Amino acid sequence: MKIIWVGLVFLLSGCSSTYNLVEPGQVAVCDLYSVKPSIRWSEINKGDVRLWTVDGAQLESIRFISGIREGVSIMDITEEKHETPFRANMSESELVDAIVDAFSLSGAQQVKARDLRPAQFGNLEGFRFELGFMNEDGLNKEGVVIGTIVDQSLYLIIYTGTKIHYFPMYASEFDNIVSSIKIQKNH
Amino acid sequence: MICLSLRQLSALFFCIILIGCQSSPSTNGKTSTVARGYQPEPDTDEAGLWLVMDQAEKDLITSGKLITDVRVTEYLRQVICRLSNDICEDVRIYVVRIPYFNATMAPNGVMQIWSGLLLRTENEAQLAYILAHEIAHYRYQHSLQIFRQAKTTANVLAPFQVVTIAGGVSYVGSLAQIGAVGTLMKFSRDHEREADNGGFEMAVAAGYNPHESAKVWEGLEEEKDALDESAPSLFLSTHPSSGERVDTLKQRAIAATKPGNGWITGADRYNEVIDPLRFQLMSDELRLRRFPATQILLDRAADAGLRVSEIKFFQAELYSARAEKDDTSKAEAAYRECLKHPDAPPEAYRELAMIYMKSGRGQQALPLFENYLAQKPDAFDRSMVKAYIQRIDSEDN
Amino acid sequence: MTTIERFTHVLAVFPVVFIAVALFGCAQTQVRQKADHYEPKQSVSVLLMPVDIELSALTAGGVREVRADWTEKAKILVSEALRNQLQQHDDKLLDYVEPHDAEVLQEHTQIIKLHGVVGTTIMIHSLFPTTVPPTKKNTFEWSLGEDVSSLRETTGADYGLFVYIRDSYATAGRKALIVTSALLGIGVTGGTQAGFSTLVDLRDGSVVWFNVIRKQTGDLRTESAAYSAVEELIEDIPL
Repeated sequence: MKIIWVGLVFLLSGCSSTYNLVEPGQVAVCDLYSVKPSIRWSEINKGDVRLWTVDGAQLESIRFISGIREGVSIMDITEEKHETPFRANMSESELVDAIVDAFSLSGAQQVKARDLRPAQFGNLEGFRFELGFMNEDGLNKEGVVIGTIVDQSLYLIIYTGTKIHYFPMYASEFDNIVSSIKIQKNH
Repeated sequence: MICLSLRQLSALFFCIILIGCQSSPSTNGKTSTVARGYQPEPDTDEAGLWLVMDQAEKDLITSGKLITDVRVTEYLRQVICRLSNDICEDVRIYVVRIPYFNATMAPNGVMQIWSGLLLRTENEAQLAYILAHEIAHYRYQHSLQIFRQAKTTANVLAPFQVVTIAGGVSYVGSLAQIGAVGTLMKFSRDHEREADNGGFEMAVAAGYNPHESAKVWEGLEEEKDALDESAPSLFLSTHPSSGERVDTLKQRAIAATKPGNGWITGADRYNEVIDPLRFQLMSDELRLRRFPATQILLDRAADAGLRVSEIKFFQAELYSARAEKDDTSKAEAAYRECLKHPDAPPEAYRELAMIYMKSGRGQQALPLFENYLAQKPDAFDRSMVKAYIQRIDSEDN
Repeated sequence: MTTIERFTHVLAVFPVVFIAVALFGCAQTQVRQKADHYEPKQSVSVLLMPVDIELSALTAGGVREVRADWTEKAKILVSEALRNQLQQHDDKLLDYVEPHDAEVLQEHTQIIKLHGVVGTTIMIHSLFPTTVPPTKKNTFEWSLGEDVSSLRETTGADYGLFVYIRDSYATAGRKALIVTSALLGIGVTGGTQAGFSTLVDLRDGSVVWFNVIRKQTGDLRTESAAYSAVEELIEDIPL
């Protein structure tokens, strides 16, 4: 609890604004790819993770997680030993399990993955699945995960939002962003 | 009505842990005992405690964490009624899907049995001795005593902090959400002795084999020793022993008088009820990634002669998840062993196929993938598996 | 990545938020907000949603313990105060009745829970301007979704009034709450309180009015404190 407390204090203590604005148009996410949002997003950029939101992360967010290497825990939620580390030879089902577990560890309840299927990640082969879960207070949430493994590293895009209103509101923009993925030439 | 969130309820602090053993107010043996139909006087602190527990019960019911299999709850009820006809009518039994060993009985009669327990008792007698222990805590109102004592000290802490302080921070995330109210109370050694004695007497009187009484405790210690300090046993932490527990139980077993038609051990009946649950229980267990402890459970299952295909499957899954040196080949061997049995779980086909596919043996993977889809047409990953099949097919053309 | 997860996870940890709210006192920021298009009309019907309230005890360790009995009491008092004070406006007040249908009840429960999250987000934005995403600056556009129409169907109400209160009190004899922060060394005594109310258009779910409590108003288990909390909550409510 104390660590979380300090984190919030830091966030709210009026250090320079944490967000930057992402305008519609091609924007590089990481070395691997860029995307082309069609609306404005607010972004928190921490290097290998970028978080986009319009209304606030608790209502909806798109997280771009990039370049997770072998042995690193996928969502790095906690410092727990039993967060599953990424392995480059993981199957898609194993990745789903690891991501579902990471959600549960972060406080999500009744996390269920649906309809795992192959999907394009730009011109790369990847996978996609849907998620249903509840937050700690029992509020229903929905999610979509897109991912691919390139050069032994994992790239994920995770869209989550409240099942009522906020997830549906940006769902087509999310699909649009996914379709717009452009892999940089040297891959 | 709708207001209390699960997570916040989990911090319902009428169920209070005292850190550092403080001796309970009960001195000479049993204090007041609870009889059938008991209700506290309104406006007493006990009534306040019940109110809190009743709300927690409502949240437990809507938590989505209950295993509602009627056969299981009915079976547990039969065992409890055999142990104590008195509380039989008042007790409400909930089997909660949490892969840790725990059983508790709240002052308002709610009994929680966590799914991790059902993997760690091998027969009805072992189950009965643990349940009897908890019923004794309830009978002697130990929770109420702890609550009262805690109110007079300033040192009240979150129920789940008993394990955070023991170093197991990992419990907080998963447990704090599920209304673990009244289940993480740390009893004193006096309480434990009382409950050991009272519970033992209860179970013996019901005809259960006393030589089974120490085995579950021993098993928990074995698991605890196999894991390092960062994963303390939740149940052992809340039920502290002075070390004599197992010996005492064994001695008492020797002294106990066997009834005319022999002791009840009840392995068959127990397995009949629990068998259909085991797949889910073991899957949940594996996700904890506590491999040395899980290995102990698998070895025990093998010794007990449980379903071989399932044991082999989870052995393979353990190797897969652990992913240490040589584990992939060990996993492959174990899946192959598993698949020799006609009752092998469908997932075994998929997993072996994945191993073949990843190691360039696509042709061998094909029939296995097909088999998986045939057995599990509504699998959540059917589209993915179909894509694998297509990929292998096209690679050969 | 850890930091991101911590930040976003943090925003979900309500108890921490409320302690922080009280501590940092607030720069004068906008606490009452109204949707531009909303004009108070004569005589509308307002559905009083069940007050989403939680009272807890604050322990020596700084941990909140929710108390069901305190919560029950406060809920009754706050609901009464709400009804009494709203009588002054010339509007039809409707009480929420729990539906028999379990599925419908679940829908309503989800709307109330969503209100908690939306309202908390608005509250944090109002009190801490640096947390406002650029896409949310200078607009007041929030919604509980079109599903609120099911509330309108059963009651015919034009608007829903939602109230959310979280409050904690020091237990007798507890030590002061110590903030072990690397950045600040503030010691805090006493409990903390935070709450907000929203007016929602039940035709489309849009939040038309929002207000947050900023004063500490005492023990909500007492009639007088409940009364003044409600006073502040519905101050200048455009009804």
